[in-house]
Amino acid sequence: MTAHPTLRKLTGILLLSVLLFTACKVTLLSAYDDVTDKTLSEMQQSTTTFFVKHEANPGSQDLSYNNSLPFYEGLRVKSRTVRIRNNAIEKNKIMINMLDLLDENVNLMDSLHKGKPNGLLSKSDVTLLKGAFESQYTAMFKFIMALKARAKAQ
Amino acid sequence: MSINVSAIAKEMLNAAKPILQNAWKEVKPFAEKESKAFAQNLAMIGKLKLEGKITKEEALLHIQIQKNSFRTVLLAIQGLGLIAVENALNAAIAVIATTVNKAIGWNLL
Repeated sequence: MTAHPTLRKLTGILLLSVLLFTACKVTLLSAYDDVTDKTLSEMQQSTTTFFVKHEANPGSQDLSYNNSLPFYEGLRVKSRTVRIRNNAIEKNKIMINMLDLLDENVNLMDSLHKGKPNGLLSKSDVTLLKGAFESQYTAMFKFIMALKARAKAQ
Repeated sequence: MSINVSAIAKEMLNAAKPILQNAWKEVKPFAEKESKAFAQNLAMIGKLKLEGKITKEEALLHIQIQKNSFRTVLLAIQGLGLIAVENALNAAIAVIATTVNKAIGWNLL
């Protein structure tokens, strides 16, 4: 008995759909990006150095707002450069949002520091800022490491 | 060619479930630690303001910084979850491929 042409056509479409569906791997997120990883590592190192200096020499004029301007500028240049790069990567909304929040926090820390009458961050400022930035970088690296592990597994 | 749809669905679920369960097990300690730190830092800001050690403007800046930091943590959890979903979907799809190939008797997929 020969199958009805419509039935044959439907079976073919179904098989093709299964083939197309199963032949491709599902990808919900962008691939791991080495440049983003390295740039964030540099930013994290620079931020950690800044807080270590504050903890080692609290009240030092070397850490006044005016003397910290190159630090803030350096972080902003890096975060905005890597943001532009990430903007060009598909399925990358999470990393873009993370970079925006990091840039915003650099600006907020800058404002806090700028507003200090003596130009110096207090011990409690440093404790709070250090905690916030450490959590932020850790979260970003956790995500980046997971993307890296995923790339290796593929 | 016979394909048992309900059996495939069960196999797909069996393939996906442990991946999603393990993902949450891995993320949970991180989520708990960061939630606690966020709460502690907000409490510290409140205390500093009450004691007059920081101004209202400084307190607001600190709160916004802590909120942005915690939002980044939540984004990371979302990203880790999506990677787990991706792995679960691909494991489930691999089950379909095996079953379909077996059912038709040759490697279509």
